[in-house]
Amino acid sequence: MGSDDSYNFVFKVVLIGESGVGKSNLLSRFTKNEFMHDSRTTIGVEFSTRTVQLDHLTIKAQIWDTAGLERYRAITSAYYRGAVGALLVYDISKHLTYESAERWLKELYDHADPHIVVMLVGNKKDLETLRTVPTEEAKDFADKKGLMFIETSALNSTNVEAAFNEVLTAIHKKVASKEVTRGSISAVTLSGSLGLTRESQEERKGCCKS
Amino acid sequence: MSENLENSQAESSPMKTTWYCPLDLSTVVEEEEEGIIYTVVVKQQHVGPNSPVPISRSQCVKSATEEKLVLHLLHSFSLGDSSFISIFLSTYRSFTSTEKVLDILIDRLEHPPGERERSMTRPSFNKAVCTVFSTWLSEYPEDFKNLGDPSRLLRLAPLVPQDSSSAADLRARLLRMAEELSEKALLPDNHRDQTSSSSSPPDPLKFEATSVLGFPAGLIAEQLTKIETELFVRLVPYHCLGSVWSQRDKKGREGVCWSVRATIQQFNKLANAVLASCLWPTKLRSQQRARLLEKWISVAEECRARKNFSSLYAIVSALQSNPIHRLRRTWQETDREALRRYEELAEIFSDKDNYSQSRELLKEEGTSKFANLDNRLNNKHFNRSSAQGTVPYLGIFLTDLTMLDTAVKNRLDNGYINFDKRRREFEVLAQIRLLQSSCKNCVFIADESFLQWYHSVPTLTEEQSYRLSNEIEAPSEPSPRAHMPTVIITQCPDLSTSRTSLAGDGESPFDFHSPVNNFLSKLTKHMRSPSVSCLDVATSPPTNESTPVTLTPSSPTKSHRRSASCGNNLPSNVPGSGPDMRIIRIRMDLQDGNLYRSILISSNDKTPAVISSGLEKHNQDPKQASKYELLQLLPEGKELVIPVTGNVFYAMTPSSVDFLLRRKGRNTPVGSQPVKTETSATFPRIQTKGRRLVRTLF
Repeated sequence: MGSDDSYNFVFKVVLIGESGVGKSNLLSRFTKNEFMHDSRTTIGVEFSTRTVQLDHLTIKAQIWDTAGLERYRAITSAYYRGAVGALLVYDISKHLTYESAERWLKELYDHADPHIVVMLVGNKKDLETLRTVPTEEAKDFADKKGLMFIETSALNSTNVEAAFNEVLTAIHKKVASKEVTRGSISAVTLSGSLGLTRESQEERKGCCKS
Repeated sequence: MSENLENSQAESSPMKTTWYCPLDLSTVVEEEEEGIIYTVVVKQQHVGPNSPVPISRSQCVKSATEEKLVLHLLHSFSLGDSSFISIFLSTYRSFTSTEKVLDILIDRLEHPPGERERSMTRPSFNKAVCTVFSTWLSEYPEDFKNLGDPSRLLRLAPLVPQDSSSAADLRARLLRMAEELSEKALLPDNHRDQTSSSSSPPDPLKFEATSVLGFPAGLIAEQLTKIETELFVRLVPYHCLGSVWSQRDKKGREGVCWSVRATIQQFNKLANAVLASCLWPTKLRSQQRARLLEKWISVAEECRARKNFSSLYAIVSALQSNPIHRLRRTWQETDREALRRYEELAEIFSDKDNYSQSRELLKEEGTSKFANLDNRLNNKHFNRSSAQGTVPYLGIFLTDLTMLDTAVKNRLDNGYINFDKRRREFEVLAQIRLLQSSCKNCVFIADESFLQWYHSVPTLTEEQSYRLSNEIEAPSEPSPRAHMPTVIITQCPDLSTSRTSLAGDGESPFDFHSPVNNFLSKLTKHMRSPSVSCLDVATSPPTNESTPVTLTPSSPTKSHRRSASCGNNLPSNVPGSGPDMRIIRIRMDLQDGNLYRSILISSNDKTPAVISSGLEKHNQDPKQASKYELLQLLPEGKELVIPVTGNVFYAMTPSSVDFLLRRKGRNTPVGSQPVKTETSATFPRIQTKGRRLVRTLF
C-alpha cells in the first residue's frame, strides 16, 4: 500500500461534524485502497491513512474519525491535539447539521491550534433535490470565517479526492512558507533535512535567551 | 458425514461437475440458486495411498434474499456451513427483525418437508429446528423477551418437533417465555432503564479529592477491574455492530445499546474521577498535585497488570485531556520515573498504525491467564494466584465495526443481503465474546470505602474542568520557572534544543504545549548532569532524609529540574507559599469496620486539630479531642506519642504514616504487646503494603 515508503510529512487531519453527515463515508472513500487491502485478516491496518504525492513531496495523511467513539468523553481532546487540518462536514439536505457548524468551529479552535486549516464540506451533494442548504449561503459563511469550502458526495465519490487534496495542499503551503513554524513533532514529521527543523529551532533558541 | 454429503448433493440438485471430478487442490466457486448465492469450497483430502480420495465440501452463503437467508438456518449444518447459525443470530438485527425471522420460520414449520421435498429428511429437519431454537434461546433470550406480544411464540411452540426429550424441553421453554410475555404486557414498562443509576448525584461539598491518595493503587485498580469486568461480561456483543450502534441516537432506539452505553458510562465516570480528583482542590501546590498524578499513573499501571485495558485507557486519556495536560508546572513536579511509566502506558493506546499496539496486546494476552509483563518482576504486590480476565477498551471494536459497516455494502446490486459482510462483522464479535469468556470466572471483593469515594466524585462538565484547570494555572501564563533554569541549560547543551519546546511562549503554532511528551521525556533523559546535584542540598528538608510521605519537594531525584527555584522550597513556611502537607492514616479501635481514615495534614496543623479532624472522620465528636491522644505506629510494634503541643507534621517519624487515636487512660506502655499483636495480626498487609506504596509514591 506504499505507506511504508518514506514520506516527507505526516499531516493529521480530523473529521468533525454531526453524526450521520457521512464523515466515515468520506474517509472510507478517500482511503479505500488501504481499507480493502488489509480488511481480510484484521480490520485493515492503517485504514485511516493514505499517502499522496504533492509537488514532488510524499505526504502521509493521517485522517482521524471518531466513528463510534462520540460518547467517550475524555478522548476527544487527544483527537484534536496535533491536528493540522480539519474537515467540518455537514449534510446539504439537513439544515440542522449546517447550523451546528459554528459550534463545531468553536470546539475545534478551543482544542486545536488556531492556525489549523479548516475546510467546510457540504456532503451528500447527490441529494440535490432534497437540498436545504444553498451553496452560496455556505460559501459566504466559509468566506467570512476564513474556511475553505467544497461540496462532495461520498456516495458517488464526487470531490472527495479534491477535498482532501486541497486541504493537504493548503497545510503544506502553510508549513513550507513558514507562515507557521513547526512545533509538535507528532503533528508534522519531516524526513530528511528539509531545513525547516533547524531554522525553526534556531529561531526559538534566540527567543529563549532573551 | 457421508450422510451429510449425500444430503448436500441432493439439496443442490442443479450440480456442477466439480462434485464428480476428483480435484487435486481445493477450489472455490460460486453457485447460484434461486434467491441465494453460495461460496462453495471443495477440498481434496489425502487419507492413504490406496484409499479412495475423500472430498470435503462446504457450502457457505455469500448473499441471499431475506427469506432464503432465514431458511438457510435449517439447512446450513447439513451443507457444512457450520458457523452460519452463530453468525446469523449475532448479526441478523442489522438486516431484519426478530419478528420477521420468526414469521419465516413458523411458515416453514407449518409446511415441513417430507411430503413434497427430497432435500431433507424429516429427522434431520427436526434436528435442525431444535438446534436453531435452542441456540437462539440460550444465547439471545432477550430477543424473545422483547417480542412484545406472545402470539408468535404461541404459534411456534406446537410446531416444534416432538420426537425427542430435548425437543419437549424446548417447547416448554418457549411456552414459559410466552407466559412471561403476556404477564409483562399487563404490567407497566419497567424494563427500560437498565443502566441509569438510581442514586442521587453526589454532593460536591462532601467530595474529598485527596482521599484517593489513601487507597493503595492496587486496591483501586482491583475495584475498577471489578466494575469493568461485571459490565463487560454483561455486554451484548451485537450492540456494538456498526448498524446498531450508529442508530443509537435515532428516536425510538435509545434503549437499544444499553450494554455499550453502560461500558462507556463507566469509562467516562472514571475519566471524570481522575479529572475531578486532580483539579477539584485548586489550592494545592504543584508538588502536591503532582502526587495525585503519580497516584493515578500507578493505578493505571496496576490496571495494566490486571489486563483491564478499559480503565487503563480511561485514566490515560483523562491525564491526556486538556485540563490536566496543560498543567505544565504540575507535570514538572511529577516524578520522572512515574512519567516514564506513564508514557509507556500511553504508548499502548497510540493511534499509530491503527492502534496496532493495542491490538497486538489483546491478541497476545486476551485469553492468557496473566498480563505479559516480563520485565516487571518487581510487581510482586500484585496477587497472581487467580487467573485474570481481559477487559478490552471497547472503542477499538466500536470503530472497527463502524468502519466495516460504512465500507462494505449491505446489499449486492441484485438486492440480495450481503452475508459476507456479516461474516466479517462476526469475526470482530467473536473476539469480543472470546474475551468475555475469559472474564466469566473472575471473583472480586468489593471495597466499600473506595466505592464510597468513587461514587462521591462530582461530575465535571468539560467547561467546569477547564475552568478549574485555568484557576490552577492561568492560560498562557508565562511560567517563570520554566524559563529560568539557565544553570542547567548551560550545563547540558543537548538540552537547549528540547528546552525550546517547553519555553514556547505560547505563540508558536503547532506547538501543543506538551510538557510531558516533548519536554520532560527528553529532559529526564538529559538531566542526569551531576554538576547540578549540589543544588539539591538546599531543597531537602533537614529532618526527613528518607521522606516517604512528605508532599514537599524533597526527593533528591526530583530536585534537578526544580533547581532554578531552589531556596523557595525550604519546608518552613516562606510567606506566600502554602503549607507543606502529607497524608496520614488514622485508626481508631471502634470495630465499625473502618480500618483507617486518611487525613491531609499540613505543617500548620497542631496535634489537637489533627485529633479532632481524625475524630470527625471516624464519626466521633470532634469536641472530645482533649480526651484522646495521637500515637504514631512504628515498625516492630513501637508507638510514638505525639505531644499535645506538638506539630504532627514535624513530630512524626517519616517512616510510617499509620496513626492511632486512643482514649486517654486506656493507654498501654509504649511498645506493649496488645498494639503489636493487633498491628501485625489484623493490619499487616495494609501496613506494609501501604508503607511501601507510600514510599514509592511520595
